[in-house]
Amino acid sequence: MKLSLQWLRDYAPLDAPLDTLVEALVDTGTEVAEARYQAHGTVVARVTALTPVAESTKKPLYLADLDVGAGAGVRVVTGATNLRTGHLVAYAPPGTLLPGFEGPLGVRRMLGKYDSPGMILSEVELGLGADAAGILVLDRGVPGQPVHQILSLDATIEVEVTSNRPDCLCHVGIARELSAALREPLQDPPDAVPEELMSASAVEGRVLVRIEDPQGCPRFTARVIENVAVGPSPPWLQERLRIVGLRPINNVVDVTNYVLYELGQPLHAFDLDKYRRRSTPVPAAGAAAEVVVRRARAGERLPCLDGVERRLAPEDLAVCAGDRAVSIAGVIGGEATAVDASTRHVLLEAATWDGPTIRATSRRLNLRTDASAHFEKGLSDTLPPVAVERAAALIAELAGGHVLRGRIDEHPRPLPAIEPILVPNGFFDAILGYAVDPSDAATALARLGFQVEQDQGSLTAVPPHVRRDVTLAVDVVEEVGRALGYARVPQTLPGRRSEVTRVAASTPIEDLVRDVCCGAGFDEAICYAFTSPQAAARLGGVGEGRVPIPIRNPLSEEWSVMRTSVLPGLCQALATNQNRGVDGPALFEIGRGFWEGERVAPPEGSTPDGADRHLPPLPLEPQLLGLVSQAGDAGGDLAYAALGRLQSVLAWLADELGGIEVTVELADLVGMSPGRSGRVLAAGVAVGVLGELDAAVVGGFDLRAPVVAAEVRLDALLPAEPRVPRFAAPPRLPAVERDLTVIVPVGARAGDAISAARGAGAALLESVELIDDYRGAGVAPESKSWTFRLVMRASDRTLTGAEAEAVRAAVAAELGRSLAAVVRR
Amino acid sequence: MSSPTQERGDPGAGLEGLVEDARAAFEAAPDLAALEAARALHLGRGDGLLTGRLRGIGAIADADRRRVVGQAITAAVAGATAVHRRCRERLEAAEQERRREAESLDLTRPAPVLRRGRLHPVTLATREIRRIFAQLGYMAVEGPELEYDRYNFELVNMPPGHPARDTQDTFFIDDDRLLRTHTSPVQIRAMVRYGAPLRVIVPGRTYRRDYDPTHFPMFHQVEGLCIDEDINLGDLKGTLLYFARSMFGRDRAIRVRPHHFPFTEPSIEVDISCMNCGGSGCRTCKHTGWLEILGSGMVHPQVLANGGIDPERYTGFAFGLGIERVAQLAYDVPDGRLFYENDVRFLRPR
Repeated sequence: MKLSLQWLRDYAPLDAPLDTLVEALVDTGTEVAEARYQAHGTVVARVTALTPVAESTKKPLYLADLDVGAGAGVRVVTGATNLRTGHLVAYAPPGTLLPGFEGPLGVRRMLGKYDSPGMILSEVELGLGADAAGILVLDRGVPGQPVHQILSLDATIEVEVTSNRPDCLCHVGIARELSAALREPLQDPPDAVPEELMSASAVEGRVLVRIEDPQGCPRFTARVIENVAVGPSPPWLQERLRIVGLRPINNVVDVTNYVLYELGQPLHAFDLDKYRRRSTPVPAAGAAAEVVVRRARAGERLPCLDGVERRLAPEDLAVCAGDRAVSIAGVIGGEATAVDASTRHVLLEAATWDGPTIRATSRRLNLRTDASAHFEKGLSDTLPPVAVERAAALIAELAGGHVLRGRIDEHPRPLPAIEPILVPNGFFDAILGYAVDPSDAATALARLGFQVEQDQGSLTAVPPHVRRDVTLAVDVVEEVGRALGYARVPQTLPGRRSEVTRVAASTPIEDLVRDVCCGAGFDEAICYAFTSPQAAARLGGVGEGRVPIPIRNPLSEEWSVMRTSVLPGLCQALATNQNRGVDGPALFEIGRGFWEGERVAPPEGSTPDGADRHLPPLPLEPQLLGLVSQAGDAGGDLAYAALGRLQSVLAWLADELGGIEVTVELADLVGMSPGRSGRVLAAGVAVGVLGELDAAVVGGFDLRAPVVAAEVRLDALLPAEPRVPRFAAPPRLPAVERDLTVIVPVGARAGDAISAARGAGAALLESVELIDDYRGAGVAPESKSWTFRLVMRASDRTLTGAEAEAVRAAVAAELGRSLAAVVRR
Repeated sequence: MSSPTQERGDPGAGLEGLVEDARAAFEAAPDLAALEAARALHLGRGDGLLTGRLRGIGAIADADRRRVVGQAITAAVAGATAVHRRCRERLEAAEQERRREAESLDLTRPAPVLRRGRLHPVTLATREIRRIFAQLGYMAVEGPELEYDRYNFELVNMPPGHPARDTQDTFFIDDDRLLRTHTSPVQIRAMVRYGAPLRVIVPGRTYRRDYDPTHFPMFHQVEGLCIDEDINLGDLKGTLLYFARSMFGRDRAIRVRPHHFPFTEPSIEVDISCMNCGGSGCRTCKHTGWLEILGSGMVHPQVLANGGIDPERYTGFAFGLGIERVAQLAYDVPDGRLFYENDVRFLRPR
């Protein structure tokens, strides 16, 4: 919200420099986004030469040479006739934003040949007054000095008010905060209609208000101003509205906006004659106009002030002329009852509306107005009469009408009374951490408008009516804390003796996994947890077969469902790197998938009241590790080599962290090439997938083949805590090595061979390793040659050659039996 | 092979000439192989031109003369041997020098790349934050990312219709479930699970429906929560000062400003003195000397009660830290958009 400095000064002196005021405001908790003087950037300049422009025939023009300080000079074209050489003027360089100008100043070309950068200003352009006739000649200043140091310019202060402080969404509210912070007196605006603006007649019998929904409308006040002359507002009012970013409309509407920005209470002005004519039924001549406040009916339509016809919903509140809705309460008025040049009598409304209702209507209509922004935060029901008096008086004064005697004030459901809050003295110290003098606390609260009573051991505070956010003792402590300044709060570390109830945490398993993946050459990616349904369907990963959870209000189709696998995101990231020319990218991510309907138990820390039982269960969020890589450019089957690297990483992880053996079982998977992909098993249990991406995935993600990927559920692969390493003495007795070369059919699987060999070799076979895998010359085309290295050892004796041969023979026999392997001599 | 001189008689004759011949041959040898050939010729065991003379002394009948000649031959052999050794040492040195040049390695080359992966700066910052708070006794816990509205909003003092909900644009799954907008719901879960006293941090992903050059629909937060008897705002300030100095350097100072969060009372925003300029003002801190780093406050009594903790007995503080913000400041990341482009070249530190 934008504020005017001069306007704030109507209520408190505030003559400190702008920077000081801004700092004070920030210290009270109101953030300042920007504070700048009118015509910010304008400097004092001295006219060093004036040369008439000969080509100018219609009106005299001059080339003015200006000294703008620091030895710099500019030449501008001016039509001002009151300038003389030696005058000091206000010069706005290009880029300056001036009141009433659209966009920043530029360089103008005059008479087709003279460039005129920026301009010399009159009072109007400085927002100082109406004298546009001549250039403002300054009586002091040095070239280059900012003009705001010489002239009392207004400033715009843009504040960000927190949602608990609707009382600060206006000039009086901010002036209240500033006056308390700077210990200055606060002057409230007048809150009664002066007698001379009163009409002789009374409002009774002219307007009747009936509130059908007191919960939605706790209070409705109104005034009628008759015989107004609607026209433009006086310049001072227009100028103030412009500074806070509003467009002046006419003197009646402008006053309602002015009072909103002054007191923080939105008002609405109806044309009373139109109101009567629009009423259903139309009241008989002499009968009162009927104002009914009710919930809207489904399908009711209302053309609004902004020219848009809106359809109302039963949750919305409507102000109705008789039975016809004429205004969406607290959000926007109707077009048909708007005040315009023909308006003679004004019905002025100031009401209190239910905050959540206004918020819901505003959100549903996607329409945020100044009024709704105030009301949705919940305003004091003490404000409407104050605001309606102030606005009625201003309308009568500026538009020349008279206010009917008597105020309409329906108050069917007063908000709960503001209760006194008891704060024990020690409580300030207990929360703020330093010794607070109770009388300092009382003084600070009084400056903020609290009524304070002190006794021996405590303080009782009654917040001002606009401070409905203050209800608890801690709220009062916060008021005192920010008033006295948080700089006074010490900086300490908490600590006291306590029993030993827990042990040190172990290194998070995810961090160990990350170290393994980095060590293996994979870079870490962090991808969004949402994806598109197409991407999710294209590549299932470990979440294959699960339906992704849709987001009700996604940012885009591309991010419209929760991922069930991290692989689609990683593929996108891999494509980014490929497209940017990164050589052989390899990525990993650790992140959660979202699997609907699979959570076994409610998450830890569910409230014991059972309130969650009636809610749809939360999905399981498995911790997933995904790895993708573009296969390198070495020879051979690239994907096979790259898959080997993925397998190495998984094996390393499983061994390092869990002491588990990882194997792969061939399987057809969505998004992976058949025959070149499979399931990852940890100790026989499926925990993930591994394979080469198929052509549809490669094309769909705009990747360059070959690309390999693996994904595992970390929670299934690894124990909750890392394995504690165990150490044993190395074997003392030598091992015997024997190589065994066999010819097998090309379809034989090494995994099967090794399990078979292990089984046959039994206890004496320490390890078996495939050291050569050959196809080609010397081997029949439907066969391949494998060489295994068998390492044999007994713990209690050195094996004899005969024993080793026996093991080798047993392995060979088993391979022959289970894989049709033939020993090659 | 035997020399004619030796054949002809006096083994002591012409020794000086023989020594001179040997010296000339040794000194003329261009390399160790030639030197060895010359040595074999002149000083070969038993049959060298010089050494071979010893064989003839047995024929000298006179014992005295035999001794004298023998000594003369031995001296000549010794003289030639000394010359040979000098030449050998010279040639060996030259050979070593030649080999050194031929076989030298250019170890000034850049280190060959042993390819390894890099961690994401968000991970690095999270690890640092965990490490720092672990030293203060905080336990790291997690919670669901797809959370109930109850925990994300209602139980932290934002009932339906509360205006503060508008400041956290929310992704909804259905009426009851959403993507958590902050890590604060885990405050409730941690209180329910562990009770008081409690010190936890909650690192994790959070989501808001917001996407522009400085806002991303997914980001990371760390929630901190400390509950005990007798916890006050000074403890919050001290803890955050300890964090700021541990994370950003021991010269950092902090400044707190009043703010508003529905789940803390009082609420404060915390700035740290700019690590770039030390507080004198620069572009990083927009010439204020301060950088906004986190929001925090004393846990609202109602929130304590919602977590099953007696607000009459316990007080506590909570803070919420944006990890991207910390990473950006700590590691000098020029643009927040880089975090989610996943361009691996970004991960290689400058």
